[in-house]
Amino acid sequence: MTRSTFSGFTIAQLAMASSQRALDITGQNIANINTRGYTRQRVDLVSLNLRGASPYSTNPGSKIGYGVEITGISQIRDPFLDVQYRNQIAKVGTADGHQATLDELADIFDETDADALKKALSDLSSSLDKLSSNVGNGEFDSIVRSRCQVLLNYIHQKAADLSSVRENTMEGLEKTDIPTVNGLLSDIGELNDTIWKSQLLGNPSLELLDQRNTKLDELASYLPISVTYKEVEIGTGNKYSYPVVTFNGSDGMSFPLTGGEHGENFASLSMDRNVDHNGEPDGTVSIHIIPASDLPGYADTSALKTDITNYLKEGSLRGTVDMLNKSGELDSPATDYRGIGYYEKAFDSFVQSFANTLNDLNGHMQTYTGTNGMPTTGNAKEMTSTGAELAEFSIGFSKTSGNFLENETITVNGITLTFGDGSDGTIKIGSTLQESMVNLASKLNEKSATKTLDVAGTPQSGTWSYDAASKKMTWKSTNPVPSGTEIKSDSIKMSGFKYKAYSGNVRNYDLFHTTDGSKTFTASNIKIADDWMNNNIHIIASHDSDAGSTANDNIIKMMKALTEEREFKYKYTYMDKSGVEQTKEMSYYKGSYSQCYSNLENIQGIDSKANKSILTNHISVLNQTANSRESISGVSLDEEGIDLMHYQRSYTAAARLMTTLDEALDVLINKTGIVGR
Amino acid sequence: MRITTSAIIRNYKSNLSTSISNLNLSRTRVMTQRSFNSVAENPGLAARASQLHRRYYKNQDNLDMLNDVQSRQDGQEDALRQISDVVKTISKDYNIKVMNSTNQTPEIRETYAAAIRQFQESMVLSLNSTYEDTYLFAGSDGKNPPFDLSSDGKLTYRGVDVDSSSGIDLAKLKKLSNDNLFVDLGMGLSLNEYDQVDPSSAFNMSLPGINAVGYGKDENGMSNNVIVLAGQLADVLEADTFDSEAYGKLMGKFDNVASSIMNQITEIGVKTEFLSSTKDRLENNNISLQEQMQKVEGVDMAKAITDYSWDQYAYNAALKIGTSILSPSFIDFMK
Repeated sequence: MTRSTFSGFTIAQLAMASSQRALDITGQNIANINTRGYTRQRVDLVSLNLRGASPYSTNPGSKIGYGVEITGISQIRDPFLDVQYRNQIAKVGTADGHQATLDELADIFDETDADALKKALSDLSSSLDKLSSNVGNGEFDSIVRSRCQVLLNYIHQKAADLSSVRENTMEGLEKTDIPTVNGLLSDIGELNDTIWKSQLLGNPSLELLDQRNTKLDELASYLPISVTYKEVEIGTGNKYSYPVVTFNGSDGMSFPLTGGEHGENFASLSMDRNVDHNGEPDGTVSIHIIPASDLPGYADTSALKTDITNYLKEGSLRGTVDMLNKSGELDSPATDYRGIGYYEKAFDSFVQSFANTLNDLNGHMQTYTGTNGMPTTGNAKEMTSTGAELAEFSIGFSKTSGNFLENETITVNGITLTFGDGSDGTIKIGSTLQESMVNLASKLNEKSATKTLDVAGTPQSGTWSYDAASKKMTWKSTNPVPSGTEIKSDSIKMSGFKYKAYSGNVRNYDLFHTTDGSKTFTASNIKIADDWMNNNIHIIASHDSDAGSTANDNIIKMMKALTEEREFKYKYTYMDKSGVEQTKEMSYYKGSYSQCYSNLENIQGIDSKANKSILTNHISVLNQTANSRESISGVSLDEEGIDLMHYQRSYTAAARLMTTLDEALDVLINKTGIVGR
Repeated sequence: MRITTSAIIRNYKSNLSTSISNLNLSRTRVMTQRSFNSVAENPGLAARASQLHRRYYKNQDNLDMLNDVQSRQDGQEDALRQISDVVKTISKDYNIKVMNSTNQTPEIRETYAAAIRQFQESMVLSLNSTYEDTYLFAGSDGKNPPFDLSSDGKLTYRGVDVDSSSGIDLAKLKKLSNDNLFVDLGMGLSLNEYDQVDPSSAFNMSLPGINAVGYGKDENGMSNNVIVLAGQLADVLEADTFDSEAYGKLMGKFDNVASSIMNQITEIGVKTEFLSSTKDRLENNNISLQEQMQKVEGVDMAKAITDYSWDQYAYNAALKIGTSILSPSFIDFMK
């Protein structure tokens, strides 16, 4: 092919044009140095070399190019780093979602620099201590009551704070997080559509790509996503690629977040508040997705709605849902995270145990008609055995009158018997108190555990009987006491004797009631019994039948109960497979009340500390990834400066080429063939 | 790796915020003088601190209770000393004087008898003495006066005749004399498996009056109670004919029984000694708990201030770098 004389000018022109475009791009890069998500752009140049048959030359190597061609403007981006960044930001999202709530929990439970519940417990103990040496003085009873009131105020305050943390977290999820995710998804869908249309018109739409990448990064902090690019061919040789965004759940579950012909359809998320088996809101939530489909935009896809609550493996949605739905070891079966539920349940069980223990210790009753009293704790018949006498032990029912025994319980040696109609192992209530007592005696004789008492240190079997005349339930040993044994009033013992009144029958001396009348105490429904508030009942100082006016053994027991080690159990109800409501309890802590609370405080502290360091780690990895990404896609002023000089020089050189050619042609045109002029 | 301008700025911002948060932390430590201000900062120390606080409050309660018990015991000792003085006076003055035959005229005996009856009443008053509305010698029935001397000379303790020699009443007296009233003085209060206070783990502050002045009768049928004996002495003195043998026998028994009051005073002394050694222990405990709390929660000021200065210095340095971080790039050197 013949090479045109003036082709050199075209080369110079193309070179100048490309240098100028390159300068423009450098300017664009410098201008966008602070634009969020901006990716460094570059002019793609190729050497222009039109190849074809050449009649004058047989050696292809001798062909000369025709200059430079701008094939496009492209972004410098490493998709692998995008994947890394998005995976990492999902982890940051989880930890961040946890931390936000943990900080709020710390405000509730952390008493490091404040005197609150722990001090109130100590104060209650010290007021009982004072009462123990001042039994019978009403003001000391009032002091104990007001200490309890202070304690209850702290409990209520914490319960209210806890429920507002849950409510706020739920609101934040429903009103902010979910709409933000949906907004991002619809933005991405729109962008896909816009980019498609503008690229069809030949526009590279680099700025729109940057926008879409920013949205994808943001979305990745809420949900674990993956982005793959799908190529479609439009017409001949025109390739266009669009992103396919997928939500990657746990257990291999994945749902498309964009779909359609070129990614213009998008998924949407929604949140529902769950209810328990009674239809009451239980404070947990579920997240649903309507995945993106390839159906046309107007198609109704609501039937595709799927629950993805348990598939959220990372991201801030997962972090928030964890906080709302999980209670760690207090879930049945246990879950992997201690969310708000753990604190609510543990705190409720703390309150339950506190109220029930003090109520039990203050067990006493009074029928609404006439006088009534607890059976006495029981005394042995005093004697010194000659080897023929049987050991005798009796519980007095002299203060008990009436036959209001329905649902009342008696506990002997740890075995609890309930008065009822005689079915299901209950003690049949007779037509008179005496008959009921005789039935009780025969019930006690049924089991060896209830008819074995400790006689001067050795367990002895015996028989119970009720004597109507003396109103005594008497136990007599089967075998005589060995000769010479001295039996004192307290030589014969049974463990764990307790008589518990049923509140429907009597005014009982429970110190705490529930505000809503339910049987189970919670941190929000516990209150001081009205009767105690009105001074109708008081703390029972002693359960001994002939105790003096300042005997304090029951108060000592209460003090001991506050500090002694006990098992904290969490009680919960659920529906079994046949639809029957069942109650179960699980033990979660052993220790005293203060220790139980401190434990709760510490768990919060440890979880928060651990999570903070996880968050710091994830953030520092994220920063590393961001730096790596920045090092590929970011703008460096040094480089752009160098580019400025570089392209300016190449522009000058191209211009110089132009003048050189001009001069060369000058010789050809103006100085050749002068002879003929 | 390419270093880009915006990466430099982002890293600078994040480092500067780390630096200022460190500064804030060390400043808070200096200001609050606490080594941690939230459980999350140091869960281990926080757990230890709440344990120490609990023990500190408990110890404080025990100290308060001990002071209370000590005051009661002082009251008991005072009352017993008064009784002991009265007993001494009776046995010293009226033993020899009455035996002197010149003093055995009915008139003189009458005055002696009246004096002894007076003493008898003052002993009952001493035994019914109170401390803050609580009767000191009533065992566990501190709201009611324990002793009652009726006009016919019968003395009852919590409603039971102290002179009973047999039967239910004597059993009752025996039981009352063993009446306990336990209080917690930090000796590891514990309940046995039958829910009763383990006596070695608590302090028994009950002192039933009959233990000091005696109850029941001896094998010769003579009362063991000083007040009853005093009444009987007066009875003998008031009799028309003075039975000096009976009087001598009664006086012998009276002296005998009186020694049990001294025993009781000695016992209180022993208890007081126990209390004061317990008090020392509790006070030492108090100091050592405070020291431990300081160690766990407090900061070493020298270290805290050094840390603070260092963080301040680091922050200043970071700020200083900030002013020059965005300085020259290649562009500044282009012509």
